[in-house]
This record gives sequence, structure tokens and C-alpha cells, in this order.
Amino acid sequence: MKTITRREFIQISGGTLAGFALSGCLGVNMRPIQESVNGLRILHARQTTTICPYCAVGCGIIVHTVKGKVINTEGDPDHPINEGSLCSKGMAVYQISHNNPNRLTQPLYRPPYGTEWEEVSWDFALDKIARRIKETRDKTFETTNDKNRIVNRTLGMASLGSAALDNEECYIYQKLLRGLGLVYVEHQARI
Amino acid sequence: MNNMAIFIDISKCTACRACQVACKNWNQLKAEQTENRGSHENPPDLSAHTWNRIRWVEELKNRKISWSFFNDRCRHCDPPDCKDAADEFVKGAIIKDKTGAVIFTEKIKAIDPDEILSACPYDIPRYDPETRMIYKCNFCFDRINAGLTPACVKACSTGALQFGDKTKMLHLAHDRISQLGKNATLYPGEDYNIFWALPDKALLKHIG
Repeated sequence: MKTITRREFIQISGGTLAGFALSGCLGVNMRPIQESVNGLRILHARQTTTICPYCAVGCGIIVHTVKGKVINTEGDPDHPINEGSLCSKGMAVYQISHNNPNRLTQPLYRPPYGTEWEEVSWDFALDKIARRIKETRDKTFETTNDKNRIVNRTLGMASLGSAALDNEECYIYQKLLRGLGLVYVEHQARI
Repeated sequence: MNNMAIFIDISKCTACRACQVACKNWNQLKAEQTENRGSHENPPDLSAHTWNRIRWVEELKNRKISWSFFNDRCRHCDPPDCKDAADEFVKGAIIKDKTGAVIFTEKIKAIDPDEILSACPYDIPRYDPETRMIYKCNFCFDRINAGLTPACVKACSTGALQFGDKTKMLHLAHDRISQLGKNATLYPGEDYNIFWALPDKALLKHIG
């Protein structure tokens, strides 16, 4: 192996430094050069596949993340449904990630007669929801209808499921609701 | 990298505007507040943050509304008039890439924007006073050089946008035009890296 003398080392590093300095001076023409040096911005991103949360078509999406942050989303070319393409809503899925400043990070609660939403803890919100469900169900549960047929239902509650739920989540969610005796179970997945 | 091209088949476009959103997504362009102008066309014009837009050509034919959707954006002319105009002031401010992309570099800031804007025969580039840059479609040259298709083409689900070698795309375009019949035509021509197949020559008066 060739050993580098101190003199050679200084010569090489000096030359490299001068090269850097030169490219700095001339480099007004930045973006194309930047791109060819840095490469594609998703080049070293981690790829995870997911399913579009919107309609029933269920297109495949690739999510590019760097250190847990979403930097890009695009259609999954290996997915048999969409083969890489997406509609305008699916294409905008990037916006429902943490990059969106309008996204809620905490449950909001508006107390009775309140006019403002206030941020509350998850424990508070879940306890509140559970207590309200129990109260309403106890109050309105009917085992038989007016023709004396067994119905075991409650008409005091309705559910409007989230459009961002996927098939499996919807299944579990509606299992829970049927278990409680709800009749009005809706899901908004038609947009 | 070969000379590449995008071929846009208007007759297959459904105006879903995935290409518009894909362009914003990939190039990280911000959203714009727009108003209902009585048309589904949105946003109303290209801007520094919208480089690719579906133009609605609404016509009354036999008392029925007929819609044509024209994907308006930089044609990536070969040779580009804007490059000639820019070279008179700063050499290399506008580059014609080997892929066929016409790219505006940061050097363009040194040139009076009106010189560039008025050089474009299709009124495509838009000036942003905030960054003092002129923006337009960049052909996703970063994606192309990495072996990917441009963001808009990848998003297109009907096959209205197709990307590949220019010779192959021209071949495809001429095939499609002969299928579409006598009235169909190639727009704007062969000396471009983005071209359209128009199903009817009458559309030219709305587009030109």
C-alpha cells in the first residue's frame, strides 16, 4: 500500500479545497447541479406501502419517510388496483400527514353551554365518551318493540364513521356498534 | 439519457386533475385560495405555484355542452425562444437539458422578468416577486434523470399522459391521431418535448 506523505496530503487536500471554492464561486447555476449532486430527494427515503383512505377503490400508495417524517407520497406501481396512478384526492394524501399545520393533535372538548373548544387529554376524552355511551344506552335501550318482538336495540345513538377508516377498521368499528345495539350505523366513504 | 417527451391525449382526459396535484406534491408548491367563477376550472390561471393546469374548453354543440380538457403547461420547445431571449443577457440562465427539459436556473434572477415572460409564445412562465424567480414546469428532470417518470404522468390513471423516448411518443401520437379521424391534429408540432393530440382542429382557437 502506498503511504501518503504529509506534503502530498496537504497538496491533495489543498487542491480539493480550491475545487470546492471554485465551484462555489461559479455555482450560480444551482438547481440542476444540486439535483445531480444530491440526487432525487426521495433517494434515501424509507418506502412504506399503504392504502388510500378515501374511496372504496383502495389504491396503493408509497409513503416516503426520512427519520419518521413524511417527505413524499405517490402511487404504488406494484399495486394491482392503480398500478402507480392516483386521483387528485389520493395524490393529496401527503396533506393528511403531520406536515399539515391544521391537523388536530389533541382531542377537543366543548362543555355543555360552552362556546369555545378546549384541548383535553385522551384519558379525559375517552372516559367522557364511555360514560355518555353508557348513560344513553341505559336510558334508551329497548329489548322489545311495540309489537312485542325482541329487538335489543338503542335508538338513542347514531354513528357516522370516519371516511379515513379502512375496510378492516370499519369492520371492527361496526362490530362494536352492533354489540352496543346501535341501528343507525353510517359510514361516509363515498366521496 | 435520450431525448424524452410527454404525449398528451386530450380525448382520454377526464379532468380528474391528479396531474395538477401530483405536480404540486412533487415540487412542493403551496396551495392557492381560489373562488368559484361559475366553472369547474380551478385554479383560474397558471402561477408561480401552479405549473400545470387543466383548462376547460366549454362549447355548445347541438344545444349540448361539450367539454374538452386541455392540460396547459410548458411545451419544452426545441429550440426554446425563452432560452434565446435569456442568452442575450446572461448565458446559461435557461438550460435545454439533454432530456429535452427547458430549465430556468437561479441566474434568471439577474434578468428583467419581462424579457423572459414576453419571449414565451404560449404565456407560460410566471414571475414570483417574493423570490424574484420565474417558475414553470421543469419536466421533473430530477425524476427523469433518476429513471422515474414525471410526477404528472405517473399520477394519470386514464393514460392521457404518456412519457417515453421522443421518437416513440411521436409515433404513438401519429397513431392516435389517425385513429381519432380526419379532424384530429398534433399540437403544437414535432419540435417540442410535450405535444398534444387534439381530437378536433376547432379546439386550436381556444388553445393557441
